[in-house]
Amino acid sequence: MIGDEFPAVLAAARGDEAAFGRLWHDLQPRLLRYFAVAAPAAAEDLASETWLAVVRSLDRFRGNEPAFRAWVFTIAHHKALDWHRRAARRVTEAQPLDGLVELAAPDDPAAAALEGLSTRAALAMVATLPGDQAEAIVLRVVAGLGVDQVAGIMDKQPGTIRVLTHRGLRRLAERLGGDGRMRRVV
Amino acid sequence: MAADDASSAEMRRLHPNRDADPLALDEETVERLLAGELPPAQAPPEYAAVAALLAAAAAPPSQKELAGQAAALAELRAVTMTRAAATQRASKRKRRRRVGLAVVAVAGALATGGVAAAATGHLPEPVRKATRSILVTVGGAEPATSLPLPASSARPPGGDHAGQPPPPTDATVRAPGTTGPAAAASPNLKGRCRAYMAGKEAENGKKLDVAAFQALARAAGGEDKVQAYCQRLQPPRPEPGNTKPKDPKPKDPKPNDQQPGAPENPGQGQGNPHATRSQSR
Repeated sequence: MIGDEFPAVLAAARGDEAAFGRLWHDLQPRLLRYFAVAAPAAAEDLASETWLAVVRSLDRFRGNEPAFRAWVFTIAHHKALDWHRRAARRVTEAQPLDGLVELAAPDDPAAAALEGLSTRAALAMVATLPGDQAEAIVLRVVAGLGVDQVAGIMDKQPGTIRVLTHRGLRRLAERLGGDGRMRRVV
Repeated sequence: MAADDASSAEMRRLHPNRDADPLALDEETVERLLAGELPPAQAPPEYAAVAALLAAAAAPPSQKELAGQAAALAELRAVTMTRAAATQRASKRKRRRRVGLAVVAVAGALATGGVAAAATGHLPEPVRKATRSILVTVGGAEPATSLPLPASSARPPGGDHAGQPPPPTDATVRAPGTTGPAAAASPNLKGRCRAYMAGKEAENGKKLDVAAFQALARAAGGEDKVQAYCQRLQPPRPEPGNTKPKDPKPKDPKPNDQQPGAPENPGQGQGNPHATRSQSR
């Protein structure tokens, strides 16, 4: 992750498939997980759209590896926003994920849930948070970005991002641990 | 949405009194949770589940998540190829545009009489080529490099003669009565020399009318020196040597090699008509 990938970006922009493959390998799972929270009904499509946009403007990107990752997630953020705008116009809405959590059996022990918690279930749980909190948390945890980068992507102040993540974690703790009602959601 | 009610009160809750609020978090714990540095066992008890959840969210990628690489690579390939093709097209367009500009420049040069700039290589090679073709089409005249420099092509190569070539038009004007075709058609000294030399020895000068011969004699510095003068003048070689120094196209040292027989070469008998034409204008 920390490696010097700026040359990789340059090489990929020139069509170096091995260099591009490394970038893709690092970022594609993060993108899928980001969209699983930000636009769950269209995660794979939006990840593909993001890569198409990345590939098309790869030759214009200048910066180091963290900047590249932030750039990719800036594109992803806009894809998610566009998708929500389109979805708002559609009659059939994506199924709200809150429902999944509420379907969980009330007597499942929290410990069992923690052990068997899949990535997908964890992301679905994060997705139950208010949109900004969920996105701030997933950008920090899954995309591996810093507060300032997340602030840039979400067009907010760093202090606001701190508040959003704090509230999100707190709300997760309330749901997961407080009264022992953590469930295997998926 | 929740960002709107973010306030300083909220910020203060980042440094809470845990007795009052069991779910309170300090900023360092938040950062460690987000960074995955707090295993559930080490996290505050209320946040053990959160730590496990965040760890699951950031777990190593599954094979399923890494399944689409071929498609992404295909996109990269397509975009790279499209871009390469676009770059080629762009450079072709650029070249075409440059020639287009050259046409405009040449048209302007013709309009303002500034053919010199265009024809003598102040413009790059494509422009000169365009100039050539346009001039040929428009005026039937070949813009040889000597075109704007009539004096240089008419002037004998030797420095001693350079200062005193009588203007050929002068001779023509001074001998209006002598209607010899040579004099009328060829007010140029070289042309006269050719005519003079054409008849050998005894015939020398017989093919020239009086006025033309006298113009030659004036240029040569005497009737007896016409022969020597013309021999110096006649060899075809001196002409390019005479023109070249005034020709500012250092990158094009061998126009003759590139365009064998091209009218651009004034040393092979085609320079004179041009010089003649320009002089008689």
